Amino acid sequence: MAERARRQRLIVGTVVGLAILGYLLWFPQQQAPADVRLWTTAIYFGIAAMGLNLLTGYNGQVSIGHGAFFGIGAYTTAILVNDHGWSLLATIPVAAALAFVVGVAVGIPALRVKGLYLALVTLGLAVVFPDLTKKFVRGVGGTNLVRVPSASLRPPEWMPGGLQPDQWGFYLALTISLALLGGVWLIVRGRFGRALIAVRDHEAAATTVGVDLARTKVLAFALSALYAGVAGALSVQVTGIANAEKIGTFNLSILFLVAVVIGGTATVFGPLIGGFLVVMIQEQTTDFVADPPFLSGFLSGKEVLSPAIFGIMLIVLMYFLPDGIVGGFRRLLRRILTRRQPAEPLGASVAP
Amino acid sequence: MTGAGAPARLTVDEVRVEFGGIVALADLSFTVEERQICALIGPNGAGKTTLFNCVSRLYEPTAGTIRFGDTDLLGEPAHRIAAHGITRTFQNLALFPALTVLENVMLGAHAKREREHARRAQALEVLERLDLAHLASHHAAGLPYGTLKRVELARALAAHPRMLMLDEPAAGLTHSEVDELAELVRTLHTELDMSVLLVEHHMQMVMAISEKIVVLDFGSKIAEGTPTDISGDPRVIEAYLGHPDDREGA
Repeated sequence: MAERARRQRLIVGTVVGLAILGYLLWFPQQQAPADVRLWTTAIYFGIAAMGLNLLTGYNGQVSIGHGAFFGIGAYTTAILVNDHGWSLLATIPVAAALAFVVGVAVGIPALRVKGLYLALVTLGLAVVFPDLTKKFVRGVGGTNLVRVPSASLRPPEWMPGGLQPDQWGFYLALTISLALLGGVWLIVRGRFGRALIAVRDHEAAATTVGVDLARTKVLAFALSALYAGVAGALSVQVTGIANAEKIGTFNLSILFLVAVVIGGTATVFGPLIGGFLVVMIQEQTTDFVADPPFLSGFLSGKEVLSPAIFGIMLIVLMYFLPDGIVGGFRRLLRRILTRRQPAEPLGASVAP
Repeated sequence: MTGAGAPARLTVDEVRVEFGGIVALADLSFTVEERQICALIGPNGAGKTTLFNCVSRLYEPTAGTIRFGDTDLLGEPAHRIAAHGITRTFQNLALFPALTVLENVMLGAHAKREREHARRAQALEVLERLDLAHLASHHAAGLPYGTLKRVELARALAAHPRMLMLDEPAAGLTHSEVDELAELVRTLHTELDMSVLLVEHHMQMVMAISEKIVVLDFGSKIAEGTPTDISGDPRVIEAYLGHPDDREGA
């Protein structure tokens, strides 16, 4: 019975997945460039959230500093494109590798702290990063803002179809996100994924079965940094710039974490959905309160109200779906399935 | 690695553990021979689990050596102990609730360098042996306590250990389950050619399966011998039941 249910789920999942993929492939052909850019943003948010989910969801290490790794990716790409004439596509592996290496460097000292203390250390990372860029990056007019030439955002010449830069960016982000999603899927189902979860759930037991705690934690940190770095690199394709401000980097870090939690911690698809929702909700609330007449002259308009509405929506969402979208969906599915085919009584399946 | 030729004897030599000013183990020495079932008994707080945690490398002894075969265990990191052939269970279940029973047992063979499907097949074999195969795809969370204890035992067996350490395996089990467990440990010990180091309060089980018993009290060994030796030893009786004079007064 379990085998049949699994096959059914696989078929339904494949159909739904292909339908979504079909829609996504069609999407940039029909929509305005601004919408395509918005959806591309949603995709790279999802990528960063996927990585953070490996660290926070599967490995139990909370980071509120991944905006910094995102920034490392963005600056790597922007500087290589702008100052050294690289093609944007070629910079992505470099951004990924650099974020990974810095992830190792940060992950090793992070071994000494856990839980809230780790969160504080990573917060420090998010706070320090903009200052570092101000010191070392020479961008537009001596600021830390690096702008890439708009020609560099065009698709490479070998790409067929006369794509616009927005469309190219969308397909690029989509392709990379699918590859990285596959990466998460493979990790979670394999030996390393089990080690991640074991370390999260019981360190002593994980050690006694042979899991190297330090190695596992540092690798989780570095992998999640890699994902954030790739997301940052892709952001340059959308925005044409790399920049880091104190609030911005911190805000990004929080949003990645929010995306993980909304989507569903320790689920494969959750962070992608969460990243999408975070970007869309933010966009909608910004539009919605673009010009609140009843507040004019009282508060400074959307800068205050948009985060407030965003926050309220988060609270409502978490109240109704404490285990995220994917968790809630699973519960719903289970309720439907168990109503249709009553499970075998527990006693029967447990007796030796 | 433990050399193939060296007998898998556990040698605990003058091991001392202090927490702050409290002496948890006071220069404890004993051996567990290859293929021996050895029980470690004593009142609560005698230092039995502390010794387990030293062998697992979760605690760092203040002094002393622990050898297994020709390996100096105290020179090894904690996660290498399983690869040397020593696995264990915990006093209060230490399973991974988010994982399935099969995944839990596959983690038991984590230290082995082998392909994923080989590890899976091996884990399924162990589950089969412990009559748990039908639960392979169940999540560990939500299974009954007695079943979970068997799953934990399966996890400890997945790596085919040369020495299995069981920390109060009978605690919380019903009478009939304890009898079953005792029988199971005895047959597994011969089937799998391993030694067993057992911490247990259930005296009937200890007496039934142990070839050797080490009695601890306040971190020191107060007696050592066969079950027959131990059950007649006045110091053991005193540690467990109090001094005869005290009892008369009570």
